Parts: sequence; C-alpha cells; structure tokens
Amino acid sequence: MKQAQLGREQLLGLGLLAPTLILFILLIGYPLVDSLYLSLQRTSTLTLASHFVGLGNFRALFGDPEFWAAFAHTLVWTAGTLTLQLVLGVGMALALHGPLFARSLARGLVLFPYLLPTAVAVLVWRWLFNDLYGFLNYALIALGIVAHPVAWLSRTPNAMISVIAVGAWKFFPFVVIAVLARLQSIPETLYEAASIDGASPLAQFWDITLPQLSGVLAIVVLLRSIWDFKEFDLVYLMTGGGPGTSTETLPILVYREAFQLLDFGRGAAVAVAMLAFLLVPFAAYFVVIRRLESRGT
Amino acid sequence: MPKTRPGKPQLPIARRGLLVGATTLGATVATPHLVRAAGEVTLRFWTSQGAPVQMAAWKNIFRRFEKNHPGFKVAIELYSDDDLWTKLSAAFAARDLPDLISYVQAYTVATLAAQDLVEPFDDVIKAVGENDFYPGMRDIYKYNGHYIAATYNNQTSSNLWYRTDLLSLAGLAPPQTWDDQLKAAKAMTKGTIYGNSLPYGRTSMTSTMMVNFVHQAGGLVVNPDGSVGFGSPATIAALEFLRAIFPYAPPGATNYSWGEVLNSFVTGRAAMAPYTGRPIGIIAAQNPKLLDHISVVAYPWRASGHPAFDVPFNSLFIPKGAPHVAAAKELAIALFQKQNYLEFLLTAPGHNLPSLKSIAAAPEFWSHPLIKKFRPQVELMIKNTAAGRNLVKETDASPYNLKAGDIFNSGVLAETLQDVVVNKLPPSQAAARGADKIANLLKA
Repeated sequence: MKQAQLGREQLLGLGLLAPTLILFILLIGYPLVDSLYLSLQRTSTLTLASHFVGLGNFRALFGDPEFWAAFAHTLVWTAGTLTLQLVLGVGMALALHGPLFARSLARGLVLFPYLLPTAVAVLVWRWLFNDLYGFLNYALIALGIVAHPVAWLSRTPNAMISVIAVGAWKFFPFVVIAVLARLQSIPETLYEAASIDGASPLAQFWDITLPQLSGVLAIVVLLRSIWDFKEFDLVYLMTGGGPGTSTETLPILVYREAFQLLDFGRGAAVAVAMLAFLLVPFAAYFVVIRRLESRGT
Repeated sequence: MPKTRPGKPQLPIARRGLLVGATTLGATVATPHLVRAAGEVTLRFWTSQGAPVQMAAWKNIFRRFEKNHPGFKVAIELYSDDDLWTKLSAAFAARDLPDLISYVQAYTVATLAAQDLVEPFDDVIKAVGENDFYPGMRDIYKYNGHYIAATYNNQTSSNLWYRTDLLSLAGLAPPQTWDDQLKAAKAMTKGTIYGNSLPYGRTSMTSTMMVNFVHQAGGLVVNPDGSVGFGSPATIAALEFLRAIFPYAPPGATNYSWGEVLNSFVTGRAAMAPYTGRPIGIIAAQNPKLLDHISVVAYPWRASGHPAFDVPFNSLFIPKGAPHVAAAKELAIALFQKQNYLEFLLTAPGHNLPSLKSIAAAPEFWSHPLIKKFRPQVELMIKNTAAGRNLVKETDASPYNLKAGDIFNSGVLAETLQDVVVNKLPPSQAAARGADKIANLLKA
C-alpha cells in the first residue's frame, strides 16, 4: 500500500516535471542537436536535401581565411563596443546616482536607445553618417574641422569604429540600469565613515564604489560579451559586413553561408563554432556566479 | 476523497486535473491550423514591388481578375530583395509556397531551376504570344526545352544618366567610351558635386555592374566552354578603369547600392550615374528643377571592347509545389493583358519596360506625359534592354548557366572590385583571386 502510494507520488513528480522537460527538449535540446547534426551535412537551404560530410564543413571552415577574419572582427567589435558601453554606462550611472536636476526624467530618458528597435536606430544613424547629407559631415565641414565629407561607413577602419560607437550608444543603458541598481544599495554609512577619515571623492570611488560594483560589473561584462559576440542585426544593417569584409562578423558569416550561398550545413558549422567560442565566457559566467553566491554578494 | 499530505496546502483542483488541463491546453496550442475557409480559393502572389502606386495598380489588376474568375481571390505578399532567399527557403522547407512569384531576377530562377523547383511555364508563354516577346527576354527562360518563367518587365542599368548643363559647361560631348567618361568625371567634379556616381559596395548593384564592365571590356565571367573567363585581361582593364574613376565618386561609394546611386544623381550631387529609367519619375516628383537638365546614353564601353547591357529579366514564375498551378497560370496570363500590363508598367514610367513588342508599340504606353517628354531616351533604353544579357547566358554560344545565381549571390564580383578600391590590391591580383573563387563555385 505504502509502495503504491510512493509510486503514485513519483509518477506525479515526473508528470509535474514533464512540461519543463518537454519545453527544454523542444526549445533548447532539439535545436542544439539539430544544429550539430546539420553542421555535419552538406545541406541545400532551399530543398534541405543533404548528405553526410562528417567534419568536412569544419575542415573547410578552419582552412578558410575569411572565417578567421570574421572571428577577428567579432572579437574587435565585442571588445570595442563592450569597453565603450562600460565607460559610458558606469559614467552615466554615477551621474544619475548623484544630485541632478530632473533626475527621474533623466533616468527614464537614458533608457531610450535600449528601447528603440534596432532597425529604427540604424536608420537614424545611417542618415547621420550619410556621406552626402549626414548631419555629422555637415557639422564637421561647417565647423571647418574637415574640408570634405568623411566616409564613416565606407572606409576602413572608420566603418568598424562607427559600428562600435553605435553599438555602445544602443546598449550602454543596460549597464546603467544594472550599475545604478547596485549603487543605490551601497550603504551610505561607508561613505560617511570614509569622509570622516578624510578620504577624497576619488579614493572613495576607488576603495568603496568600485569594489561594491565588482560583482555586478562581472555579470554585466559576461552577459554583454555573450550578447555582443552574437549580435547580428545592428552590424548587418549598419554596414552589411563591408566595406570589403572589414566588419563581417561571425553571425553575418552564418547568414551569408545559409541564405546567400544557400549552404545550410556550412552556416550551421559556423554557428556551432560560435557556440564553442561562447562556451568560454559561458563557463566564466558560472564560475563568477558561484563565487558571488559563496561570498553572499 | 483524494488523500493529501499533511501540512501541505490543498489546491482548489486536483493536481491530476491540473496536469490534464495543462496537457489539453498544450495540445490545443500545438495543433496545426485545421480550419480552412470553404468555397473560395486564395491565390498568393509574391512581389517586391510594393510602393503605394504599385500596390494600387496590383489591387486594380487583381480586382479585374477576381471579377473574371469567380471563386478566386488574390492575396498580395511583399518581399524585399534582401529577404527573398530567406523567405523562399522557409517557403520551400515548410511546403508553404505562393502560387505566383513576380519580379525575381534570372539568376534566382536559374538557381531554382538547377534544383528542379520551378513549374513549366510553356502554357503561359504560348497564351500570351510566343512571338510577341522580345526574343532575348523570352529565351532567357528556356531551359531543357521548356519555358520555366516569363520576363514580365525588364530594364537595364547599363545607361549613363548625365547632367546636360554641367557637361556643356565643361565643353564636353556625352561620353561614349571609358576614356570619355573619365575625362568628363574629372571635369565635372567641382565643389559639392561629384563627377561620377558608381556602386563600389558589396552589393547587388555592384555585382550587376561588374558583369557589365567585364562584358564592355570584351571579356566574359564564364566562357561558353564552362571555364572561368573572369581572370582575363578584359577584367583587369575593367578594374583599372573603375580604380581610375573612383576618386570622382562620392566618398561613401564603397557602400553604395541602387538607392544611394539613384539618390546621388536625382538630388544633383552627382553629375553622372548608371541607372535604369527610374530617375525620370523620381526627378519629376522630387526635384523637378533638374528635369530639363538630364539625359541618358548607353553606358560607355572600353575603346577596344563593345557596348553591353546587363538586364535582370524580372520574371513571373510558379514555384514547384505551388497549390494552384492552373489558376496561377491564368493569373500570369491576365497580368500580360494590355490594360493590366500597361497599368503596372506605368507605375514607374521609363523604368518598367515592356517585354512584349505589341506593348512597346502601343500608343497608350507612349501617351504617358513623362514617357512622351523623354521619348528618345525611353526608345533608346527599350532598344538596349532588348539587346540585354546577363550572367545566366553571357553569349549566344553560352549554355544556360545554372551556377549564375551562386556566382552572383556569393558577392565575388563586388568583392573583387572592393579588393581593388578598399584593400588596394593590384587589379591583376584581384581578378585572379576572383577567378579562383568563381572556379570553386563552379566546381561545388
């Protein structure tokens, strides 16, 4: 009788777990396994007709300078935009934490770039950067800084610098939100004690604010580096990967292989390689989370 | 009464009931859409031509079709050139295909034909009138003894639009050769005006123009015997010319495609630009003060080469697996009927050129005010378009190039030009690199 009761409880437990498990398999497990499987095939994007090529796609990929160039561009883009996001985000969060006229309004407005759809943001920025009619060139020429329009998106390294800047503008509000929330929870008594001890504002920032922010910054850096690494729409819509292939990142390469060269298998292979690269920050994320939990931060 | 664990709060309904409910809800959400409207067939029509004036024309045309074909409705679904492959791939993968697709270029149809994804179109061509089509526009879609599509309209971007006022100010005649064009570009680059707009971006317009430049230099991308012709001295000469004229293009030209090239000319910032007949309508609507100061010639060619005109052969075709093939053919035939055809062509006067000789001769076509004003220019563009070719069949002797789409979509043609102007490679090295890439594509 007791055993039967236990069996029913176990079944019920399994039943309750089942929806989560099924969703996990459908939404994560299946796409992951299917991507791995596809990366081992040569598959026509149109007909999905395929044949097994083993590691052939990976061999071709790793022997292709274009893949390594795209990887390098992805690293430059990720590092560049992330650094700028952190500088802008922390700076803005500190400004919004302090006494400021219309602070609530400013805190709301700072979210604007993050809320704006990427396609709209890109449209606005492309217009600002336009070689013939862009405001930036107009202003620079009017101020006598340059004699001729600057090719912001059509020369190297201007294109990468411009994309990095727009990426930083678009995504820095995330850093602001995270850092500002943490700033508000730092006990005021720490600053009062430091002031009594004669610590300068810079010393207070260095010895109190920064250590208190380290946990949240670690999480922000890890999450944003993962998101920036796989960013597609902003870079693609800004430059399409050009000029030449100077801003072609790995997500753009996936798109090209799968939907322009119609080789789904090679596209999947690039995506799987990306996943492998992303496992590094992903593993770091878990290590950091664990450390933070053990510190009780 | 069901037993419960002591100390645990009771749910208002039994857990098993909750599970059953959740499962039922999940199954309901996951169930495919089974309910279908009865008694009426909806034909799905894909087009990239969705400007308000074009949508109005499509709606009028389909209203007439529906009146003449009771029980049928036509639904317009828009795609853009950029998302065509994504949409097509999804449609083929899901077996959820439209009935008729319009405005797809010959490259794309060739790629589909290579994978047996296009329905025969012989009935449509015969019903419209096989001999009424310009031969080149008809035969580009003849594959394995069957027509697989019809050129619905056509145009060439191998025209050179120029500013008559600026050219006469420079004391020059309209350019005929590349040397003339280079001289004119230099002479007209002054202040905020750039002498010559050209696409140097990794874009479809650059690839289109590259095919054209290679042909104008006397070369071929793929030789009739199937070998790669792209690395030839003709390609090198084309790249040298494009490098020489690059300094007279707007600074953003290395990102330019159709929109930017058109914009630079119609706004008056570029003195010369290649384009179809579209500037006529745009300038009339948005910058009419330029309307009396523009004209067009066949795009200049290399002195030792020959004129060449690249055309897209904008098609109508039925994808294999479309649900209503017979009705889709009826719809295609209706689109060629004089009233319908003229209504669509005149949505972009001078840009949409007819593929039927009878329509090109119709007084109604020439009675449009802008076409009347630019009659010699439109006549020239029709003549050049009728002689147009593209990568699918570069010469009479060339076989149907089923890899044309792969070459075009790979971007290798535009990349070769970018290697010269962005990466500063010598033209000979860039051409050789491009030829290797094309050889790999042909082998794949």
